[in-house]
Amino acid sequence: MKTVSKLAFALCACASMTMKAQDAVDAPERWSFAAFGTGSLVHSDEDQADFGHTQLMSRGAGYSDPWALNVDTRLGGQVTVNATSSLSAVVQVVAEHRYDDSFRPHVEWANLRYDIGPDLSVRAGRTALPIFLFTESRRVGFALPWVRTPLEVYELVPVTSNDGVDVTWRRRIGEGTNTMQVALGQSASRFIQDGATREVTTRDQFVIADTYELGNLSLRANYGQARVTMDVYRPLFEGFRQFAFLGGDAIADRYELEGRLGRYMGVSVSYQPGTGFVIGELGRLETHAVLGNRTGGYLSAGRRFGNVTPYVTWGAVRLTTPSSDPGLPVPPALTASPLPLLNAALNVALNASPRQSTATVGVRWDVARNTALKLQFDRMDLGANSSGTLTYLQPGFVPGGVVHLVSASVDFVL
Amino acid sequence: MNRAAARLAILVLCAGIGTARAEVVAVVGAKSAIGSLTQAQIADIFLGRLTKLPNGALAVPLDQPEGSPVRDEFYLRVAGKTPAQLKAFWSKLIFTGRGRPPKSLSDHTQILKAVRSNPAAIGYVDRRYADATVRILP
Repeated sequence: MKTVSKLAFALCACASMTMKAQDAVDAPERWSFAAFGTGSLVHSDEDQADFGHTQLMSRGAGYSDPWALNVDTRLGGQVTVNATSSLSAVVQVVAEHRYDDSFRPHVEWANLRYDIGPDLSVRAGRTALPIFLFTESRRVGFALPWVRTPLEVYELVPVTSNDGVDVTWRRRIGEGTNTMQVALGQSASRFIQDGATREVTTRDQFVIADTYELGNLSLRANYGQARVTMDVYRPLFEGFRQFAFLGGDAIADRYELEGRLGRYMGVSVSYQPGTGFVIGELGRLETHAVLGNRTGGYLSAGRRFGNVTPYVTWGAVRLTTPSSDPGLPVPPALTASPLPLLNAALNVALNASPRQSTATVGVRWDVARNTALKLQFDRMDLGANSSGTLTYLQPGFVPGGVVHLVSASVDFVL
Repeated sequence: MNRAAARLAILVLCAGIGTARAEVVAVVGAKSAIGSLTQAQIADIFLGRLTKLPNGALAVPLDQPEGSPVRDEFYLRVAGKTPAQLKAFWSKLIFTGRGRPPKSLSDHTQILKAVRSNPAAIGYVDRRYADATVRILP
């Protein structure tokens, strides 16, 4: 018995010595907690449709509530556990307005990270898809110069997460740092349309992103592709296939999203000296399907005066494929069949691809080391016959108009 | 000159010294493997972008406590970042799992102790604390 207790004592001593060794200057904390949050109030003067920070939101500002609290409001918490100096686990839970109109928290991230060296790491689990400049931090309002990321680019790809693996490789090139990231995996996101829960799923998801940072200048380019399925369109194209004798298969083959290869290419530039910022991002989505091919971009600049940073942004998204299709010719005998409705539904779906431009002026005021207040005005100019990125369209909605938004937010990190 | 006026003059003088900007210098141990560095390299080390130096030596940055004037002054001078901008910068990295800020030690004594004993450590202190046991960069 005595031997056992001696052994236990020795083990404890050893363990505490190891702990001490890991307390060396370069050792990370055993575990850490961090949190972020945003409270926002958004007003839209469009009372026949809703504005959300993503089109996947079921409700937003406008028709549902002219002064909405749910658009950008969220709370996130993150726990990091460092098992060893090279193996760590991270879980991030976020509560924000969800597709089902609730604020139920969901797991945004959950992954294991292994550092093969100081400049090479592998992560497995759920990570953010590195498809845009700010994709990974778009929910952390405090890390953004604006109230939210410009929808003209950030709505090009509705997928934001990756369940799979990613590898990050950093190296020095000249006086700058080059970071290459490759992600492989799949994803699923839900949204509500016409009262039913729908899903966007991707598989064979592959993204490569390269960022070069030189002082305050950062250049980024990325390419991504995935096989995309959207179940919301399934009945439409199954319907067209019923009319194979009229060429319905050709319509379905052309537009359906059943594992269709979609591609995305993006480039961005960001220059952020302490006195202000210039950020520009350009992206192109190619689905060659019902979502069409789209090009979006924005340019934003801000200047800091003490703790106050006013900024202006201009963004636009265009559809480079037709927003309408004659559909199938309707023979006189079939005017009472579902065919005319299918043709109409196809055109509604094609026309749903957003065309819009937004002019923004705003100001960020850093009231404390970890708290920022923002006030932002947006003028959204919807393209001809387009509802832009608005959702929850009401029968009285008139496409192609101008929508004004006022957003006030408070962002913090802990 | 009466005593009250003298006292006032001393007070004003002391206040002036107290608010004078401390000159902050980056330091490594006198026997550190870290060679000479440019200001841009120092900024990159403290922003987590540079961990291995051109000569192969590792660089481990050490921060002064958050909110300390010496820290705010250092980042403003080396990286051009205000405390809020630095917080936003690290928030972006922390909440994407891409990095963590340098470990922060309680004061300049701890920083000097660490750089003396660890050849990879790099810190910053008010110039008046940089004695012969440390080397000032760049």
